[in-house]
Amino acid sequence: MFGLEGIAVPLGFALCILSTLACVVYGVLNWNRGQCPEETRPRRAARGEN
Amino acid sequence: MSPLLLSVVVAGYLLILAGLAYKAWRETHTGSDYLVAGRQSHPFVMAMSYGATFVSTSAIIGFGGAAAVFGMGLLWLTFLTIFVGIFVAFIFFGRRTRVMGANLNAHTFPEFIGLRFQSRGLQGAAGLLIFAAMPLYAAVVLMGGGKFIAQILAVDYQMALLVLTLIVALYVVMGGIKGVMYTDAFQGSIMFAGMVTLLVFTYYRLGGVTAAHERLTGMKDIAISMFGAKGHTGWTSFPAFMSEYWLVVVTTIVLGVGIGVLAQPQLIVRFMTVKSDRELNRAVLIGGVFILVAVGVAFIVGPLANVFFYYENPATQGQIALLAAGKQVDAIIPLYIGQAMPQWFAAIFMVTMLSAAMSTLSSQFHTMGTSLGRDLYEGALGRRGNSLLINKVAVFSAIALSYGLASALPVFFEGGTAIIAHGTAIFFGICAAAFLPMYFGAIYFRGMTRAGAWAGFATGTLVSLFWIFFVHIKESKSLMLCQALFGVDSLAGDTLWTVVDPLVVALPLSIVATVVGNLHGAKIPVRHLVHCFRGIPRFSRQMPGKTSLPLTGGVPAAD
Repeated sequence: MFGLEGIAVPLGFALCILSTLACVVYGVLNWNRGQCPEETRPRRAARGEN
Repeated sequence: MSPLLLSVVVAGYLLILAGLAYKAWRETHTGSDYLVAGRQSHPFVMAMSYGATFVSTSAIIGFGGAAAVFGMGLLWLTFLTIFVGIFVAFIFFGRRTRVMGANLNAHTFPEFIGLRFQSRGLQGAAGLLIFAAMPLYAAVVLMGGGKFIAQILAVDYQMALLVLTLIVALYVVMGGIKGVMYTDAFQGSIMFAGMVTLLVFTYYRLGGVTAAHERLTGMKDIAISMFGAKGHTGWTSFPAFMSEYWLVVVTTIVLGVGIGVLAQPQLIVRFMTVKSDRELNRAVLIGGVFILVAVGVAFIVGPLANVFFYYENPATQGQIALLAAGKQVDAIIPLYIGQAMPQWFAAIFMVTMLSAAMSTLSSQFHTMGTSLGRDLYEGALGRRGNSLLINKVAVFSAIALSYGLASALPVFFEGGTAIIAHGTAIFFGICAAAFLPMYFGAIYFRGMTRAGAWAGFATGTLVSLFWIFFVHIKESKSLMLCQALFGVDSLAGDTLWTVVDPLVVALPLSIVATVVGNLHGAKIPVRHLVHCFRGIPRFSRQMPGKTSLPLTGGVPAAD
């Protein structure tokens, strides 16, 4: 693959790309999750929620 | 390189650093600001700081040079640093560390451990280990930066070392972790741009991605004729299974650093600088992409330098990278930049390397200093005073120690030993063996005892040190203690154990000791555990809405 020999190096190459993609996908899916309660309270209050 | 161009680039760079250092100094008023940035860091700053701290000149010059010798098998380290160092570290360690750190009001990693296990002794011991072992790591990073500056600017190594140390010292001492993280984010951005440019230029110069790899694969016979006896099979394939090179690549470089990254005090403290899980989630994306480029490029360009020196460069035709660089592993990448890249890029890369060195150094100085000031002086010894001042003095002391070591190290180690890469791997290995079992236990096992933490810590530390001084020949030969006591360079004689990294032996033993030690000693009081684990769910995934708020005070230590 891409001029690389054997299995181990091409596999390492592919895993680098795949693990980066995993980080990107995770980051995108959870971009707005996990904020602190003190951040959410004013927004709730602004919407009239309790 | 044009002196004018270089002066303009470096002056602009230093000016921006000065501005960021001033901003940090203005915003640092309390001990908490100095140690954990008031737990209010932006995710971009946090992620870039984490990545830039992790990726030093070691990873680029040291490990890039090592990759020029060992080949692209080192890409496995890139994979581990992304998957373990970012994905696993942030999601499975970072979230719990952040919440528990805030619950306990911990400001450093040793303090986190000490408060979790209610042991000032453990806090002091962890701080002492960091303060004793990290100067070596800081010294080799300083060496990497100093050597690069000396080579590019053709100035004396000692002078380069002094100037580099003074610049970093200024913003670390004055701005604390804010100074470290602001400058890290800026430096990380430069590193990212510099490494992308380096990769693109290298592939362009060597005929494209596949063509460049194929040319390197075509040099397989040269590699085997020179290093075949040690297990080399070519620069685009992995060393022969269980050969000397395989053991070095797998145990020291890939596992030593790839696993060791989980237990780095200077990285763990980053988790405690953000206010919620959302920042960590965002940092996963930024950190993953950054590490791919910052680490991966060096491991691709290093091996490809062989093609350049052997075929493309008239001055070194017929020589592989190691020979072209006079058998100095750490000189391969700087030489490649100087001879293969356009002059303007050498100026950019100079700043990239400065950034890599300075971003890691600043965190190391800060971590060592806070270990001395916060964990040993204030924590273990129980001394009180102006916390901000105490930590500033301690950071300054740590810097002076590292500088002294970096001045002396080249006298004891020959250039061909790849001291930068090995020094980094040694520190990562010691940290993994000493800290990882108790750190993992601290955040995942409510029933873990103080005795278990002590057993794992002591075993990991002692076995690592024993292996370094008496078995792992790379260090035991240079340290000469084994020779003085037993008349041999390594107790393992001529066996392959001499190249097996301390981590591979010390970490499993540390885990066993933690488990066995955990069967003994008093349990941690339930009330304290409830306090520690508030906001951390038992078995389900983290629930963002139930994240706890930071508390104002830590729980007093029992001993």
